[in-house]
Amino acid sequence: MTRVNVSITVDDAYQDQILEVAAALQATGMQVEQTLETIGIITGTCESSQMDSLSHVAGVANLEQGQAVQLPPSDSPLQ
Amino acid sequence: MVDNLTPMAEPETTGRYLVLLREDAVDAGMQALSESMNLNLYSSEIAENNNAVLLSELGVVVVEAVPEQLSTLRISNGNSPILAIEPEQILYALEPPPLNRSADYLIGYRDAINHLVDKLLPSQQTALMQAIDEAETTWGLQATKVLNSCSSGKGIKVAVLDTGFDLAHPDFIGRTVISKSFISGEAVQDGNGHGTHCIGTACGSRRPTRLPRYGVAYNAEIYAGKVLSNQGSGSDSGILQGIEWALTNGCEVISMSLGASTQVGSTYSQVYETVAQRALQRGTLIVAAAGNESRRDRNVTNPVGRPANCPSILAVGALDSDVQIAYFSNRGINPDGGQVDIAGPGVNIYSSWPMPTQYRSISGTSMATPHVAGIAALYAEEFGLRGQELWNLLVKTARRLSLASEDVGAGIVQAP
Repeated sequence: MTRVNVSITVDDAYQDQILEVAAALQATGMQVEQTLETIGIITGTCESSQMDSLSHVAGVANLEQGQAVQLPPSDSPLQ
Repeated sequence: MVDNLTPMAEPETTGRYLVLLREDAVDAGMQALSESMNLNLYSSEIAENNNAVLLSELGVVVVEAVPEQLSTLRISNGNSPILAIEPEQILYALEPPPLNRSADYLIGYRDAINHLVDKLLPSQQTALMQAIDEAETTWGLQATKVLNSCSSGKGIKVAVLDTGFDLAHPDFIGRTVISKSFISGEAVQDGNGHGTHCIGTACGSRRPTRLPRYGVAYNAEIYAGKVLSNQGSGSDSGILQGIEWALTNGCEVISMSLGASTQVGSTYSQVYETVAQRALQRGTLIVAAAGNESRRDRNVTNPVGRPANCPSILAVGALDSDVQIAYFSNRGINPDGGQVDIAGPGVNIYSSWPMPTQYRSISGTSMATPHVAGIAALYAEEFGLRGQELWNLLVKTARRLSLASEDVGAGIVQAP
């Protein structure tokens, strides 16, 4: 099994219940790390096999696998 | 004024006269003229020998005469067959006479070459002048008209989400700096340099400890969010936390000189798009770097990176000091909002760097982005606009360039 970072967009209609959505995600197997109430996003980790079931939790508008960014080496002239 | 005192020159005359005959009395006029000059003007041979020409269609006779010969013809009454007598004048063409076609072609060709040479030479000279005069201010602030702006970003909060900030940099002593690290185990203090450079461009001092001036919104409140480690790496989770933090603090502008490359055909992140829409609705504009994956010197262009490719994030391309597209700057290739929205200075950009280095010049769409973010703060202060309205104003006021909109969007950002 592969552990992945996920970012979940909470549906506009569920903005006031974002903590409940986070709890439901946790109950469905997600390790919730951040509940960002202002922007309506929940981030955390899950098994890649759980992504589909998490995306069907009530209040989830979208589930996306987290990505990384990497700047060039600090001494590079191109940034 | 002097010209008005110069008397008008007398018109040059030929010594011949134009005699205007009454339309219904051409014969009588000819007769009278012949008698007064003692010449038979009806004879074409005699007329030719005396330099006389009859323009019968016009009712005009051109005759060579001395004034005394014509004096008897002076129009004495309304029944005279002679209506007017005037000295013939020498006239000059206002335009050169027409040449044959091949000459016209050669002249047109010569003019086109001259036009081309004239067009190229002065722009080279201007570019050279721009490139060398950074004694007082960076070329980037000059090209974006920041120096002429009355605005300073006062009262505007600008969040720069990057590698943190050198909190001890001498150019920022006395400034309001609010900071937070979203990198586990790392303080805000910038161990990379990238963040200090970007904050310097967006919010650097009007009077740095050493010239040139390099910062745009010198009175803005600085929100330094560390979402990239000292090694320059970060994740969506940290970046999204940084955006949340900036929104919670009411920042009007978020500058993100970060991103990941995308492929041709790929679409944008729904997470970042929704976040950016929600930010705009709350009055926060997110500005992000288009990315540096192109190599135009080898005819390679790559699409705008993630998350700048979101329709609701203002994507910034990079220009050099000749106001040409930077060789590395990405292009609007993908549909669904993957365009470049605006461009800013991004080649050889001088700005702050963590001590003891203090200053450094580097290139990238990362450097163009804080130019746009700082100028957004100037507009936010001066016009009180936020979110989508602020976006619209930046795009509307950008100076149009004779470059592809896929590369520079609306053009080069211009300060109010």
